[in-house]
Amino acid sequence: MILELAISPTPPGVGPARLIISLRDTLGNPVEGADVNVEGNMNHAGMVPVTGTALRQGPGLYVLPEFRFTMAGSWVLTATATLPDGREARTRKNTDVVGPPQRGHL
Amino acid sequence: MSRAPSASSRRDLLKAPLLGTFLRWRHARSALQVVLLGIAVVVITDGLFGPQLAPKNMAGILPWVHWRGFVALGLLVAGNLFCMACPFMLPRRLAKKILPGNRHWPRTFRTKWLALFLLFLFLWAYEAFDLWASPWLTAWVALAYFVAAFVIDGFFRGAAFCKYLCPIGHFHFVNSLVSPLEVAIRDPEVCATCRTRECITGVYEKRRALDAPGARAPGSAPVKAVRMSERGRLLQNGCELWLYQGTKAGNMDCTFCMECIHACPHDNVGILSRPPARELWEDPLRAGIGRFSQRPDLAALALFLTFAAFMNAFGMVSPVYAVESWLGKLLGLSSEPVLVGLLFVAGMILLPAGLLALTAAASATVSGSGRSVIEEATRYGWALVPVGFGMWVAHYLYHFLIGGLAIIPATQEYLADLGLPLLGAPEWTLGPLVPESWLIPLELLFLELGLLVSLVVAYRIAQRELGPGPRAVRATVPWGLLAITLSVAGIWLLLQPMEMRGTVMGG
Repeated sequence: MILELAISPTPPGVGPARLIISLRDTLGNPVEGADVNVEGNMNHAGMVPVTGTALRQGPGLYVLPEFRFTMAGSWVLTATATLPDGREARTRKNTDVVGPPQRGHL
Repeated sequence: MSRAPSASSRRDLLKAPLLGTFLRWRHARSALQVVLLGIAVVVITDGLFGPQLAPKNMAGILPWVHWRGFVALGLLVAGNLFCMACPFMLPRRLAKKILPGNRHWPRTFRTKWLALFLLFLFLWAYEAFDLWASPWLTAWVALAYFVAAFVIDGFFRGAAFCKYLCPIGHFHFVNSLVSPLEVAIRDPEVCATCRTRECITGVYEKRRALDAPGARAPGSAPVKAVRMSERGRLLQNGCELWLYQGTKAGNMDCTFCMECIHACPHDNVGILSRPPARELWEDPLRAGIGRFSQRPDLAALALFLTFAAFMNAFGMVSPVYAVESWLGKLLGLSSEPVLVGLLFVAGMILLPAGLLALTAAASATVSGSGRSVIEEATRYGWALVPVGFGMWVAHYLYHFLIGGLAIIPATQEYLADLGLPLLGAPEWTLGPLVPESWLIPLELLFLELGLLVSLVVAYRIAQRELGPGPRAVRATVPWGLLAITLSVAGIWLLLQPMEMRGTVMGG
């Protein structure tokens, strides 16, 4: 399976962003019925990860409408799709999150 | 100096129930070192072979969240506890056995300039190569540390690595000047009559000392002079940083290794309480160091660390990227290590040098001291250490307080990766130790406490140099203003949005 993750807007800002995940088989056909979860970690230790579950929005298309980036900086997003038969696909995407500024976050 | 309070008025950690018993145990330091060595092994193995995502790797969490937090807390409430438990010194003992270890450290390098350079290199590498985001690089830094300590101390006498090179140790040496505990003698009279000085020479099978009639410690047996070659086996090290307890003053260069405590045949060395920061304004002739006021290299180290506290924090807030981008466009550069290097040279060396020159010139002029800028800065620069320490504490405690509990899921995952899922599935939502709303007030509290102490120290130094009166007040003003400027810069930094961008090793 091929799992792809896109972020809107790009680059995302601190606050909510839309994550669009597409799941296809090796022939390019959409894969349905998957549980799709996303975990976002900052690339430095000590910050609690942000997690969310994407909802089906079309054939092989899953969307997480409000994935909330809590801080500016480098993030690593890991999306995992699990099919009812236990098959799993995973992808990882790095992104820089920019302001708007949140005061008092040294 | 710091022996000014009478021994009876000072609390002695060695006499505390349980803790004192443990610390008096000859193998107490080794026990602490073994624990930290175990942790270092975890950091190195997970860093090299574990998941390369810092928040999920022991090498991302333990050094950059917990170690720094505990160092800040340790220095704040006790003293140089990390050097006491330093794991890098364990393999070094082996080096002392299998390598010659008899060379004298070159006279040219018996200053703090090399340590200052290495400290700069360490702080630069941390930012330029995003060590905080790279468990793999962090593991290699730890390994390099073990190798460096092993090789240096394997070929040179004493603890040359600690005294002249170790960047981390020098961070502790400077900031422990503000700590409330020191390794010190209980009764100066005992040292005055001691002829054997095991606290620095060590304890051998045969005692070495010269025993002048009537000049020995009460109750001790007369001893004859014994040649070096006849002393036999070394049973207990003395101070390997060459701090003779009789004239040792304060925490500079003291690793809290407790060798002197175990070596003293008169049980005259303790871990004593003292007024924090007092040694910054007193200027006795210190064993193994000399006078602070005559050591520009030491003052430069202390001042470098003070300004580095602010630059290190600046490297983690959003405006740094705007400055880097502006600098890159201006110079036509895109290499982050180069840009960070330029920024750090400007912020940790050039700007501080300019500010210090102005301040020292002002204080020399208004007080009429007639001293050069360097002489003045070498005397008064120590006043800035507390505000710098306040910034380090604010910064390091932020990371510790916001991510302290992350060690729990990381340990769960580490054990699971080893095939020992003893603690269950990782609970990654654990993180903060305190509510987020507490952080800013706490950070500001530490920073401003540091400022307050800096102002007091500046005035006490001026009093020492000029005597009480208006000249002392006038000399204090420029240093007080510089401390306030740093504090305002610190407040601005603490209120900035944090932003840490870096190379992500995970894929």
